[in-house]
Amino acid sequence: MKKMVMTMAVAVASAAMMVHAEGQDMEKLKLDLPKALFAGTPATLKSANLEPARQGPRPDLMVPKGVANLSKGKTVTASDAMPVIGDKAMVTDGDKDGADGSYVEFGPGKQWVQIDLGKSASLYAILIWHFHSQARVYRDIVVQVSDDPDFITGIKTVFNNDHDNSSGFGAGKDKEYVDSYEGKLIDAKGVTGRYVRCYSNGSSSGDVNHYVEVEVFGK
Amino acid sequence: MASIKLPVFPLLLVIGIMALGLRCWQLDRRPMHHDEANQAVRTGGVLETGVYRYDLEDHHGPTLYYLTLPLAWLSHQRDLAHLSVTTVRLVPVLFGVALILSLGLLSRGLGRGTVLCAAAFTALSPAVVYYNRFYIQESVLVFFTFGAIIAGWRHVRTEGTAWALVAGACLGLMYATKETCVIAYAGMLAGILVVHRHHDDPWPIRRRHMLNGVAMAAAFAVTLLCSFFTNPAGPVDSVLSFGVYLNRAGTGGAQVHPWYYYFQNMIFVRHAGGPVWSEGLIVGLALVGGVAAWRRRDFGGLDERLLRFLTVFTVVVAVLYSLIPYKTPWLMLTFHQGLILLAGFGVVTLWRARASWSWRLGVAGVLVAGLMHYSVQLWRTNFRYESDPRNPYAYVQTSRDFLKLVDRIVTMTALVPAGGGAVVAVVTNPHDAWPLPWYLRKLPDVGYWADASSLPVGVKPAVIVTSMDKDQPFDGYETELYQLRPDVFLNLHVRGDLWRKFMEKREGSLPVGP
Repeated sequence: MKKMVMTMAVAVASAAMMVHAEGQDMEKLKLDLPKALFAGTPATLKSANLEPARQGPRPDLMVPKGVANLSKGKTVTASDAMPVIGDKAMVTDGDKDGADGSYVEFGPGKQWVQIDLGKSASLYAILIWHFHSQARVYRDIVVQVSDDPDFITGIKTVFNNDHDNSSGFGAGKDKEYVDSYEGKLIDAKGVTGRYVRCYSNGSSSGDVNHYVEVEVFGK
Repeated sequence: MASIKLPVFPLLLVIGIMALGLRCWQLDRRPMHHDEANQAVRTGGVLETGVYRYDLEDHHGPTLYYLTLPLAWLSHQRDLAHLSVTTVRLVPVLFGVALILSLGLLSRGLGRGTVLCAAAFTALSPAVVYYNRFYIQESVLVFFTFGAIIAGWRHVRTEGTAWALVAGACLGLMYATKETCVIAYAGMLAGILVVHRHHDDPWPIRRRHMLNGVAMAAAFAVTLLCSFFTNPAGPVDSVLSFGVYLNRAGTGGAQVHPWYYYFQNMIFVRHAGGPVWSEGLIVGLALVGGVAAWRRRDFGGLDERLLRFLTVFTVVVAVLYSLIPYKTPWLMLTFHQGLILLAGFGVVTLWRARASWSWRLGVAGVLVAGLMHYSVQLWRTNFRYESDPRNPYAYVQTSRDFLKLVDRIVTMTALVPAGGGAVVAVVTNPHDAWPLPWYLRKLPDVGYWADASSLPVGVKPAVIVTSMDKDQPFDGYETELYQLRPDVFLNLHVRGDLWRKFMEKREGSLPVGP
């Protein structure tokens, strides 16, 4: 009986969400992608905890009409105030090229970058490029949204692939992925917040952390 | 510069101490390269059994292994399990520093200024420091090569038998170190022939001394290659190995690079937004020194034959290495050292080109700026980008991520209950197994299989490491991905009960939240 009630509740909630979405007049999220520097996840690279190499184009993400990139040119703060290469402003400068001079490099270990969108907004997608001129897996990616700049209260986690909980946010269920020119597209499902914080913990290539660009779509 | 009597040996000692410090600092920082690990495991075998057998297919001569033994004994490391990264890497470090100090023996031939500049360049060269901290044969080979040149020159200058014997010993030790010594032999022979053709007063080379030197070379080479007369086939195999290496030189697979590879690495490298690497200053100054060695008329008491010999030697060795399709960056060390000596002479040539203070201030300024640039690059090469593929010397270098794999294996096997059979199964192709044998040397139950189907039936290893080509799903295991080196990944499969135990322990110890 209890199970049946639960199932009905989930069904009703899903239907309500669909009606809400339809009511919002959805459209395909338009993305402006940089030039590909390698072919994405190498076909030979297989692991149970890794997103498999995709056949064909990435499925479209449907978002409400009017959703735009809110992060371009917005203020970026970071756990590492003195990047090794580049400047933290490069995270939102609109330059998504994977080649020389387009990325910022932060120090080793767990680091974060935080984007201040200026005001609270409903967020539908977050697109992250860490480094895409070589096949790499960035570790312990955790993306959180909050209205608190210190991320102490009201934290909503929209992505977590820290499978062994090495960052201490709880073990994530999302899979690791190989960064590519397409970036990692995260469905933010309409969460609200002014600040977006992205964590990483080095990559398969080394201990340091890179960002080419982060785009936050919302309205 | 010649008018100021520079105290060569005290200054060399200062440079040597600085070089030692730079080479020893965080010596175990960089993960072991698979070639280093391979050599270190072989050294461990010699350490444990005292037995070395020349392998004509791979691994080179025995000097590196034998030279490591005294350091291991002094450190009370009696077997492979206890042998440390620092101990094995100290061997090339000490030979790198010894080379700097031995340059002082050339001061009468090249001049004090040349020797001191060359010593400073050697001490600070990012490439030299990087490979002096690398447990392969190259630094030892370079030492014996220049040892032979220094002793040979001292011999022709003094005509003393002792230096002929030292030169012979170095030539023999070169052969017992690495087969590529034949390229340096060719460079030396070409240098001697050219010098003899171009000079009315060639070096006095007496037949008796030459025979003594050759006998000494043969004695050293044969004694070491036949494992102190316990393996008579060793010296013969060392000759047969040239067939193997000749074949490999032309078909080196991923190691095939264009002819300009070494010079590109030395002059200008910038990968994917990383910093610029350049030892262009040495190449430029060597060009000045090399041209001056042939065009200058007044050498002010220096031995122009030695300078011209070094020019020919360096050019011939550089050309031969560049013509061979198989290339790895450390192979350039022999002619790189030749360039450094010529660069030292280049500095002196520029200094003497004009007597005005403004000119000399300019030369000194360029030299100081160049050495400061080297120091920054040295830090980047060895302490910041030491295993980063953007570093041109970190060639197919083991990633730092690999150390996390090792750490995970050690953590997981420690969770196995007593008597639970902490088996580590490595299922990889032969290339992707290294450097695991070195890093897992302390674990008792490690097995290596070519295929997962060969794993013992009924045994559930604590962890299974697989290369991508040998990977398969393992029921009841948690899988993680680790990078071995650029574009090469390994999967680590951890038995479910151990993974759960690990996560329970971790979740109890980590703070929750940012």
